[in-house]
Amino acid sequence: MVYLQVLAPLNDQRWSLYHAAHLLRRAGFGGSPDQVMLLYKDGLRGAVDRLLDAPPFTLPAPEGLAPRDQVALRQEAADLPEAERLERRAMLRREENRQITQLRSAWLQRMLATPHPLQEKLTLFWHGHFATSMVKVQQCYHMWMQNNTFRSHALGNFGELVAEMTRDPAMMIWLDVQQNSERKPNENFARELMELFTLGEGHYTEEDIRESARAFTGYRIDSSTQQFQFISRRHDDGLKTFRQQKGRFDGDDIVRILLEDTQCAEFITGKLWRFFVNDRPAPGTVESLARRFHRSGYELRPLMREIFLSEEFYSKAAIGTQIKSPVQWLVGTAAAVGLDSLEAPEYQSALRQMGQTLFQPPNVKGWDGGKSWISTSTLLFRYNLAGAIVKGTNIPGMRRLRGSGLSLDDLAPPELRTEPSKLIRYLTLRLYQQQVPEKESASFFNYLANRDAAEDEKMAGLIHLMMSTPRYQLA
Amino acid sequence: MSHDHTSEPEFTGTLHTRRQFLRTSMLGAAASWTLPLFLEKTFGAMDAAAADSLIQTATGRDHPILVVIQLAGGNDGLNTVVPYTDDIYHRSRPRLAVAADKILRIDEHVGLNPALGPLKSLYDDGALGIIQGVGYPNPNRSHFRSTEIWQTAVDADRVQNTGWLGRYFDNYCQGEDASVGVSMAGDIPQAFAAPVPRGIGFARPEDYRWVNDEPPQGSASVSEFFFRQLNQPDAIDGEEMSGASISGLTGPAMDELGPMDFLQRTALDAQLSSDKVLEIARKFKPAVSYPNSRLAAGLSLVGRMIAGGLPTRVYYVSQGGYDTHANQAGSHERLLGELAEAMEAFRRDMVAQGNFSRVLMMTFSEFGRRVSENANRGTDHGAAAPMFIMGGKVNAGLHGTRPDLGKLDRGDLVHSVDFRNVYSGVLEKWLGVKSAPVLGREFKPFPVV
Repeated sequence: MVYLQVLAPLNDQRWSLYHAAHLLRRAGFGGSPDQVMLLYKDGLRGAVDRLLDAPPFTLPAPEGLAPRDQVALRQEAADLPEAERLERRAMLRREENRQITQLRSAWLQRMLATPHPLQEKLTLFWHGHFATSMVKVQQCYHMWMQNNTFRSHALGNFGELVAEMTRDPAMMIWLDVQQNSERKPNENFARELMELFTLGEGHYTEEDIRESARAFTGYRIDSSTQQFQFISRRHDDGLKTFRQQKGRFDGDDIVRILLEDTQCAEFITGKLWRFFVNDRPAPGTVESLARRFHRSGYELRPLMREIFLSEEFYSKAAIGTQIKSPVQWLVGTAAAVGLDSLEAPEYQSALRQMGQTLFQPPNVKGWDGGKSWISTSTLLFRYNLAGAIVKGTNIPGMRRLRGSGLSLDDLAPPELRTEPSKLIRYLTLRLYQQQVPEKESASFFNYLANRDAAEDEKMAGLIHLMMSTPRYQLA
Repeated sequence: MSHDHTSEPEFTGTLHTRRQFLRTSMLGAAASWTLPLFLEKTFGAMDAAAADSLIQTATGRDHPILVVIQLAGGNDGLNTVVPYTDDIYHRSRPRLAVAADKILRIDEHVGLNPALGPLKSLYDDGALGIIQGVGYPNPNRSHFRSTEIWQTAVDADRVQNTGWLGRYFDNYCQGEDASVGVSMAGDIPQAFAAPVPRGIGFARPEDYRWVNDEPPQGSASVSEFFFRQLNQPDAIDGEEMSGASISGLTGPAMDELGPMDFLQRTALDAQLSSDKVLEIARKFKPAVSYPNSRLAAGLSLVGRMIAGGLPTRVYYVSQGGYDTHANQAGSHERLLGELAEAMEAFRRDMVAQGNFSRVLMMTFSEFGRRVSENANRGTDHGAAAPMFIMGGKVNAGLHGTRPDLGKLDRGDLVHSVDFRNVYSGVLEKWLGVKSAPVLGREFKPFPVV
């Protein structure tokens, strides 16, 4: 099928390093000067295609990760004396904790080191969209499985991803799907499926919820394999009326009917636009993209291609207007200053303090994003974290940290240090990847002129100062 | 872009409020941005303003203050306010029931756990209210979810991203300092969550600042000086200042600002509140002695901030450890003892400061516990539980209906007061605002004062 564009693409002539840097920040997490240069040389179309071309990848499993047979665990525990049973339970909890910590590190590291950043960026987007938390799921195995499901459909088909989510064990535990039965319905999943995952608030009725909840009866997790299982004798096979259609619907039918509604395409397109571009799409932009998305049968790759090629994506209303999420801040910082690893557990504590714990969104609505990331406390924390990474400064609430692989000679090349204006220009490009107003450059210049310290200390101080600014919080 | 200013940059002032900052910087608006001199003047002017002394801070002396204590983990309400004459209580808890002769009697039916001695004195002095049987319909027994329900104050089957105190700040405290809400836990509680978050958090005052390892020269370091220059709204720079931008700065509309303006304003707020918190911590030491516990340390810090006149309406502290599934007896009483001693010390502090009548303290926990004890000498997650309220103007005494142990819902107490009625009472009767915009609909205000 030929996919016709509905948005005007950026004129190839205007493609610049700044555009390449913007693309890499939004479609990924930002990058080093070399990475930006690589994309720039690809040209607009080549760069977008490079980002869209992501082969399948499975996040490595934490050590010892395996499905836990819940029945066997209960039986084993039943014969133990009380004290041992408690100890056993505490041990399991510690083990799950260790695994989820390892999983978080592995994902952060993948975000930093992947040659396919858009795949990870979309995986993060789907994690926020189908927001599921370890706090309730309590089994790292399921979180790992779900994360890989997000990744394998990241640039695939949205309809297939929704269908996968209806039988995803982490999601099923999170939204009580197993507690849903014909006699005692639990409508939690059915409600969120429509309100948060496909249509948005106000586009369904209470009857839609009741009827679709019936369609998801008999959905269980097999306790020994911990895989999805459909138990037909527990399934309510009766006639259901759902969005003006009648039938003996099961869950897949419900998903199919939801996808038929163009509202679903509009809801998802709008959310993707807000995440990747900005809060204020030009009138008609989301609607026309959504029509095309709907007609394509919810194919994500052409939709993302069109967004990243569009003139609007590279407009003033988009570039440098997004408040970085904590993950974006951290991975982007690591890329910009040249860290080789984000595996230290301190980074997880840092993300928590900035308000974004992976595998633990605050609730089923996910992270609000935008201004909600920033309070005086989280802003100061970001500033201080920058100091910890660049200078190894001790900061409150965290173990001492210094960015692994960081080189001041690389960040502030000695040959530039004798020429402050060149140095500042270089660092501006490296850290902000955009031009800054003269008065900000003047502050940096005056800092260099006034600061009396050893060379390296002065350089580290300058870099920390540049990261301790409102501008550095924007992508 | 160079300049010939070679002397040490210098400033010593403490900025009080954003308004004050703007007032003083307008005086110095003739200077151009390239000159650190501009800032020197500004800060100099502010230093003079600071000489007004902290005591007279705008909001320091008149606003009522709410102090929230979260008892995290699910406090066993039945062993806190004990129905000591109820046979069902003693039968349900053969090993955990508090013996009737040890109870600190409130009336002929209920009394306080013996570990709550200091609270009994407060009660006898008319400074403590006990609200019995507080909960909500369709109680959830998950810590995570039930805490979220209390923090966001929504119906149990709805999910909301904003917290009740965040919505209070949003509706009624626009344009106030960032320190309008202060959490002594380090983390900001979900109750403060808002589309544009307000409120600050720190476990120690010295944590709440821009950490920079350059030793100060004079009153500040070069780094600090340029940090400040880079972290203020563009509109403060002399010529860009217009009537519109000033009202934009002092006005409420944080949620309407573009991302850069919003960040700059938050950055300025961070500086102002950090300066203020650090200065208060330096100048004000606890006036009374507090016991040695984390909760007491938090409340002692609250006391110092109140003494220093931080313009805060809500303080938030938390005490953990209430999830007593096993061997509850010793640990639960230790927690209650800590709570009571810390509250009592706080009362002494407030009385000594002459601020007790400005303060309302309220405790809450995500749920109470099962009526029947479990096989591990502990209790499992339950539902309704009592709340304590304390203050100089509090509606003292025993309130609400004693939970009926003969009428349980799946083994749990049924609530007689919805916690949102208590919140409504706090908002309407104490903070003096309409509660419906915060709570989403009308809840009859519980008479907390």
